[in-house]
Amino acid sequence: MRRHALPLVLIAPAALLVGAGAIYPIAFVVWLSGYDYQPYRAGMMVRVGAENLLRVVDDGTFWHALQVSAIWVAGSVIPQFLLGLGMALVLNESFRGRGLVRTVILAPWAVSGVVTGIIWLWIFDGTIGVLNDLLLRAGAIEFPVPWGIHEETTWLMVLLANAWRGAPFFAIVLLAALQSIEPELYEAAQLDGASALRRFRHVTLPLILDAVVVSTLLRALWTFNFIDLILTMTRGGPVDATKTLPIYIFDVAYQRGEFGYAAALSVALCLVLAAFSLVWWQIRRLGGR
Amino acid sequence: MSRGTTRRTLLAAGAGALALAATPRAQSAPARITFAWPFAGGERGMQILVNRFNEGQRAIQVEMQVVPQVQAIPRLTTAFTGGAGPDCLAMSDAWLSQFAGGGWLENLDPLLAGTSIEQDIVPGSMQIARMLGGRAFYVGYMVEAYSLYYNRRLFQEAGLAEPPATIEAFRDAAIRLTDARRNRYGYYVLGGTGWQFQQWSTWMLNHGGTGVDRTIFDAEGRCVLAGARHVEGLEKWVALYQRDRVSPLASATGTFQDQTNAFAAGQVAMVMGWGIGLSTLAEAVGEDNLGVAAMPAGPAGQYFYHAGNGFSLNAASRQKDAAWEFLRWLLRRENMEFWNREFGAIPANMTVWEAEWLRAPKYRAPMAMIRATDQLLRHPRHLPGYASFQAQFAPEQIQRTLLGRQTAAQHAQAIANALNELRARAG
Repeated sequence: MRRHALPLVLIAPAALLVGAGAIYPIAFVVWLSGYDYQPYRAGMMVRVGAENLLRVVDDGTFWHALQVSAIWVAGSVIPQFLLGLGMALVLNESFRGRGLVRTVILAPWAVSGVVTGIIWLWIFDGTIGVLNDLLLRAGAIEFPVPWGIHEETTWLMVLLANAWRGAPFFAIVLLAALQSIEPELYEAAQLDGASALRRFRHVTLPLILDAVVVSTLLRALWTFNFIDLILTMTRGGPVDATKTLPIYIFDVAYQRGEFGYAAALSVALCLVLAAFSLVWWQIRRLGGR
Repeated sequence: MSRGTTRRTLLAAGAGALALAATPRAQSAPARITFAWPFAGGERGMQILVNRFNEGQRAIQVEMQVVPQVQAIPRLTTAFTGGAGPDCLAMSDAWLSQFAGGGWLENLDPLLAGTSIEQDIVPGSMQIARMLGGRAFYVGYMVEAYSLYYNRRLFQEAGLAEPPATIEAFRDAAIRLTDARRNRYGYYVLGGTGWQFQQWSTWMLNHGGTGVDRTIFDAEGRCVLAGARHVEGLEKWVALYQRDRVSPLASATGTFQDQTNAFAAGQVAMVMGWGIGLSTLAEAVGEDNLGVAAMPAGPAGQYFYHAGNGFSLNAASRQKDAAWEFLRWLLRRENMEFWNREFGAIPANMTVWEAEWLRAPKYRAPMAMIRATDQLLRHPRHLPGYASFQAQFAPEQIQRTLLGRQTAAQHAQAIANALNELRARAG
């Protein structure tokens, strides 16, 4: 009996922490989504059951924000991954000053989302921005370009800023994976006459696939929920072109004061992310792992 | 030391401890209260006042907690809903409907009744304080009027002697001040977040007039902003951007901070904003170079937005008496003069208004606007959801209009519908 109890005792603190820190808040949000809870209206709380979730289905802003979030995630993660992979491949090679280059390349990851937003906003500012100033001085443009009023250029601004900040994350993770590959495997492939591209395709890629799947999944989830950069740079504009789901939920909760409906939107967001994670995880199987 | 002496000493110490424990708590331990400061500016002056209060007496000790302004609503909401929160706090009038609506702020009327505090506070400030159900949920410490700020040097260079007093004169001045080839513009048509609603709705209201009691609703409770004259006013404001091109193109989505940056860089000659500009813009372009004027008049009159900040008590505080004692001390004339002078704001306490420093030219126009009680607009800040209307809905609509995706009439109708819906939901 005592032998059976010991493992339970040992995992109890961790289980308690997970329960209090993760399961309870999620359960609370699910529970709250069944209420029309408006704390700014004298704490009004009325049980509405699934009404809030049904309202989500009919909410055009939700679907628009979901679409914007998909663009935001895909537009962020793909270039960040490619840049990060390139950086990792370079940093995996031996060259003079590699330590310094590694430190410099990884620095943006340490910068907060708000600071990143302000830096890039000032670069792209349509009136006093550095980029416009350089282009004007070079004679490339006659008048400052209002980057923030067109959807396409606004996306360029925010995705570039996010790529600058996010690529080092992939570089760190993929570099660690690359360094775990035995050099003998490359030597054997080279002896078999495999080209650099084939070595990458048949040796490198399968062996870093786990790291690729996990890192892209994590980064996609973080990016989906990442509110600081867009809030700092565009506030969801122009009009509602960059209004992601977390920005919409923040508005519904803290500005409209509809916490119950915001909880329902969060549950929907959670379901979308869970479905995405499940699909993404299947890629590991496709890789034969 | 003998055994007997030790025993006596221990007994004496024990008796002393018991005597101390029996002494009333107020005499031995001070009441400790928390005071939240949820603003980006003015922290230094307020901390000095808190320190002075703490050093001046021992009965109440105040701990000042600075809350980052951008996190004020989420953090204070979380604290209040959890039954916690600071004992007292500084408040923006923009948050009153949320926090007082939640039942988290103490009704200060019974406390004010026994004092002469209200007699010294400018009526406009008390009107804001009582926006919800006629009960005072804060006591104002500063007031502000939405004003027109201009760069005197750029005005002189353009041969303009005075700030524009009417909407037509405003357009003429903005055109004269604009030289797009030099990246110089007359005005910043604010389209992003940061109180742009006050700019374009002033054009609408000064063209079409206000509703009942200087509100934006008529006697039947319908929003007046969709009226033909109001639409005409909006068209004139939008034309400044689309036709006259007196504003940087980027301003259609620019924020209050972008507007401030452009003004500070000397690229824009006129901007509009709240009282914070009295200090930040003066610092940016120089005290003597900053001009401040009333918002321009239209055919239907000249109306102004006013606002302010105040002090509130947490309704769930266990130290209400001590917290109110502290707030009463803060509201003393000398303390209000100190903080407002330090920050460059207009005190809500009118007895300070004769002070020498408030005679500086930059204070004249905003003080005149605040005094003009029959021209002060009463916009529906008390409606639940109005914060979202201002922060999300209004910027999206005006951006749509400025970027040519809807007409001024469609814009006005959308705004009126949204406000009618907010009013209907409030019941």
